[in-house]
Amino acid sequence: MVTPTSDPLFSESEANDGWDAFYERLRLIAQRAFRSERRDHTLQPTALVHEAFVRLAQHEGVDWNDPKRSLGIAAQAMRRVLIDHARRRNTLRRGGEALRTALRDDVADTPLDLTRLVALDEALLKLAGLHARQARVVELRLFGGLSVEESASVLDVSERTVKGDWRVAQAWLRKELA
Amino acid sequence: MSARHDRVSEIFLDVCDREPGQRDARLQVLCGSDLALRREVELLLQHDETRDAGSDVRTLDVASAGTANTPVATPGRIGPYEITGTLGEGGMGIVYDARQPHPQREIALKVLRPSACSATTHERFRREAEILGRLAHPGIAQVFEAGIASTSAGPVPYLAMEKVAGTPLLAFCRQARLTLRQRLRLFVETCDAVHHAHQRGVIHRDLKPANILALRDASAAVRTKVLDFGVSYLTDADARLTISQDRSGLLGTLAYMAPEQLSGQAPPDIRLDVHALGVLLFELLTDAHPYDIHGRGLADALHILRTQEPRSATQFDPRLRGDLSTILATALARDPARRYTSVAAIATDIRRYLEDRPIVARPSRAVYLLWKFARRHRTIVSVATLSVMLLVAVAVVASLQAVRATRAELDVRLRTVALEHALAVAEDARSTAEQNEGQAREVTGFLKEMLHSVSPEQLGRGRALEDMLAEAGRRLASTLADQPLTRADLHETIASAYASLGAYDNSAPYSREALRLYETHGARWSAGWFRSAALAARIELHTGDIQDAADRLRTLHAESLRELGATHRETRAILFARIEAEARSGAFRRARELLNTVLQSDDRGGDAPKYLVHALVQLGRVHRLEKRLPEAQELFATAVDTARDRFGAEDPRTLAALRGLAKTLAEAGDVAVAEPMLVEALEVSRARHGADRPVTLDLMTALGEVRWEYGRYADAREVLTESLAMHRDVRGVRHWRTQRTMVLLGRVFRDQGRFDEALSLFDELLQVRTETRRADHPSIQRVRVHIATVLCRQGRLDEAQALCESAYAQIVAYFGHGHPDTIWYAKTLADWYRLSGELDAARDLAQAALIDCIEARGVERPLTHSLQHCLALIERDRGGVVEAERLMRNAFEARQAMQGPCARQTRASRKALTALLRLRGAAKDADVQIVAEPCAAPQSPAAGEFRCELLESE
Repeated sequence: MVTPTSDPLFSESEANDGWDAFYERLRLIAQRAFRSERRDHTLQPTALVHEAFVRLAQHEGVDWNDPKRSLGIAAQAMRRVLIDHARRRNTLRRGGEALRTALRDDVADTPLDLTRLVALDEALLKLAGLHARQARVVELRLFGGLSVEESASVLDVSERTVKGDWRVAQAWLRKELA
Repeated sequence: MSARHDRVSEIFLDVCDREPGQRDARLQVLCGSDLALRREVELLLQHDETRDAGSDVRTLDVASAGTANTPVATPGRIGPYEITGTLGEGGMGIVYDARQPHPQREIALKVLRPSACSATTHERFRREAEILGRLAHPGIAQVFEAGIASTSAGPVPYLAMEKVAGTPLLAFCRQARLTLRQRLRLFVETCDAVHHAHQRGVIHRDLKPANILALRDASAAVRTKVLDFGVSYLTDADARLTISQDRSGLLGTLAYMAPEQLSGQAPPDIRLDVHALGVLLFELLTDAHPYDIHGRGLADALHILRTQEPRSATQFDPRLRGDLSTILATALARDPARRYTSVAAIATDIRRYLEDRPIVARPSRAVYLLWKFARRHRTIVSVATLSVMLLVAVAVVASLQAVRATRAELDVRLRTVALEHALAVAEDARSTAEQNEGQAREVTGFLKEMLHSVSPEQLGRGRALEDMLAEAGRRLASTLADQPLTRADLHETIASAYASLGAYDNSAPYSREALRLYETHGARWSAGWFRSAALAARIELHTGDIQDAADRLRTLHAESLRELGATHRETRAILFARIEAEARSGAFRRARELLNTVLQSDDRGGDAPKYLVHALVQLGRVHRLEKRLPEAQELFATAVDTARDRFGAEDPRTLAALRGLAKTLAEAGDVAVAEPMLVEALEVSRARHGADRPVTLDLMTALGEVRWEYGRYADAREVLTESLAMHRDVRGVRHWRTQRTMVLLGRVFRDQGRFDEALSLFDELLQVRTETRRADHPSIQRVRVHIATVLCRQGRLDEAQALCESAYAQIVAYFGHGHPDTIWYAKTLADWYRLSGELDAARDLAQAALIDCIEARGVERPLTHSLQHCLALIERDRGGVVEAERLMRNAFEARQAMQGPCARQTRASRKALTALLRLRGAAKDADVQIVAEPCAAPQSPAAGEFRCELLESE
């Protein structure tokens, strides 16, 4: 087998690097979100990413090579897409074990349970009213898949602040959703 | 921002990592005497799971898991294979050059990243690999083996594949300067390989030039090989995008995806591969991509791929005009339903082309013919005329095709149409073409033919269609001033389209204007005039005066028989409209007679089967309304058989007849047959026609109704909630089927005690009907009675009674006495008076209604039995047990004879009669049989609810 050479048709699209990085990131989040519901064929993770992607594309005047702006918007888009998807699935039951585990620290290995996402989204809105930055940190990390370092950079605060916000917000959300 | 929350956060972070002993002391210091504050912090601490895991060692980093940046050292051996080098690296894994010991050969070893194939998917991986192993085709790179090797990094899934030394197909064709025919032959070969896989149930899902290699075999003949078959399965859809493997990047993959794949609603389907091959063919023939994405940024390109129509191949090479262009358009159709259904079909068409035989694919018939026609008449018909008509046509056609399209796609399509229109008008300003009304009308006639061939079953996405009709109407207002009859035809077309959506208020002005135009320009008695007149009468029927509408339709029917003849399409349409009006105005017998004339007609040619089935179904409905359930059952069964015979078992008309049959069976008490029948029909309809098609929606609502009737409220609510959501989306809230679903769901809510939800639905319905119909229309009074039943359950008895009285008064004013609706309301009100203890008022009302009923309709009418039942209960409450028993026995026996022993109303009378007999304490021998309930009784409402139940069910 030979690794194919690239098709010349697309080799000029140099500007895509930033996008590709996003795509990869979104894809991993979506993959995680869907690990828990393999039997659902109504929307595939790839599709979810595409949807987020399309929403992102609608933000005009954003410099995609500026990670501060773009990562934040990516997280928002992903949140909206996931929540919309969860709402469409009409699974609005609240609480439950799955969400609490979804809020554990090792997010990468834990499925996001879509059936709980709507409740989480509502709780997050409430938290935003109490402490906007804590809610932002959750959005960036949970929906945007950002690291502490990246979150700190997006929010222009220290990593220590992000860690503190993350910890308080997690406890608060778990309490709220218990 | 909340200062309180800030403070809680601060304290929480201060103490969360302290030892328990220290923590208490610290909390004491920080919270002092504010116990509420301390409780809040403690509550958070209880939910702080991070504490046990140590401080901040564990950080979250989703992005690091399994991305391409994770360095993996080249292993010496994986499974039985010796690694000799690296061929490439991709998002889902690495491809190694490897050597297999037995049999000795060079292979390509694809090793999937552990993250791309988690432990839970290993079993599936094995199973799928087995299927892939069975793909044996010279045009497919063979998968020799798939396995999971144990390595120091844990289990690693791998694929051992045939190593292909080739060049990507497109590059090969360019380098070898292959001719068009040579390229087509290679393409056909590729299609054969892909088809081989499809026949074994394997869809590629990621076909692109990079995955199709060309090489020369031993005899120097050119062959193609498709790579990576089934890899998308093994790694699952989400991990399959091989972004960094080929430098063309993400777009190199997206550019071959079908629109439905990009918008995320696509189940794996052969047509995804059909589309990808279509793109490939386009590139082979033109050296360009069907979408103008070359050199664009990803966001731009994605937008184009998702929203635009593919370019025409002829703009790159005029030689492609004709069949090849058609083949491309069919393979690349944005709507998968219009695409080739198999790869073999593309190959067949290309072979036919190569052999100069006619191809099978034709563009969407309507659009194809439309363009043909437009081209033929280009010099004669003014461009403005054509463009307005195109707008109307495209509005309808687009909305039909849009059932599965996203809203965004539709908007774009609409804008495209508007743009085309603008261009056409601009061109018209320069055009000197003579405006010939005769020719224009020929065009219109053609268009109308096309539009009317679209059955209402195909109508979808109501609101989008309304938007487009509004646009068409606005444009129509300012054009064609010199062609009144063309204007009339177009007004009529728009009016019909609105009416089919239930948008009667929008429809009426167009049908009035159409009538005026026909009449002032000497076209009274034309088919268009009849259609407009019938439409106006139907609008009157649904929103205004039912008796007037019935009168009007009777006249029209006679006139159309005289002017057009009995077998003319318009005459038939008017006949069915008249039948509906007769039934709604209470003249059931007349409706039955008319339907029987259709059934007994000797005419069996042409469209006759359609009308025959339609008449059978309508007649079945009339009989069901009249509670002659065995007859209704018989008619529906005949309709099902006839439709199945003529149109097939899965045809919408067959399914609609089946729905009627199931509802009749359920009303007769045979729910054990009815429910599974509906469930099965619903499954068939979903699979065959789609979840959002009208035929499917109707079946859902019917299933909800049957479940409600049998007390299965939770199940009923589930299916009705889904149905209503789809109805709102597809048909819009003004469609009567949507409103019917609202009523049913409202009842379910009510019977589940969810009064607020019930009232909110009924209020919405009342508002919609009030906005679109005459204030005293009977359909509005119905909603008020529904609301009264909820108020009754809530204990708001005075409000409920006032509503019932007012509804009754309105109905009397509308229909007069003697009409079945009036009698039904009288009975309802009499029930109410009885329950309120106003027994004299109840008896007077019920007796008067009974006399009206017998005079107007005869003793055998079901309403008579309802009134007897009602009066029996009144007499019982007045102490006249003997008279009560006599009346109830009458009602029971008549109902049993007419509707069958287990019908809902029969059961109600049996129950009441049994109670009366017990009350008398003297059950005679003959009565024992009555007392024994022979039917599997549905769950009856709780005792306290029963009195409110009476308001409606009897």
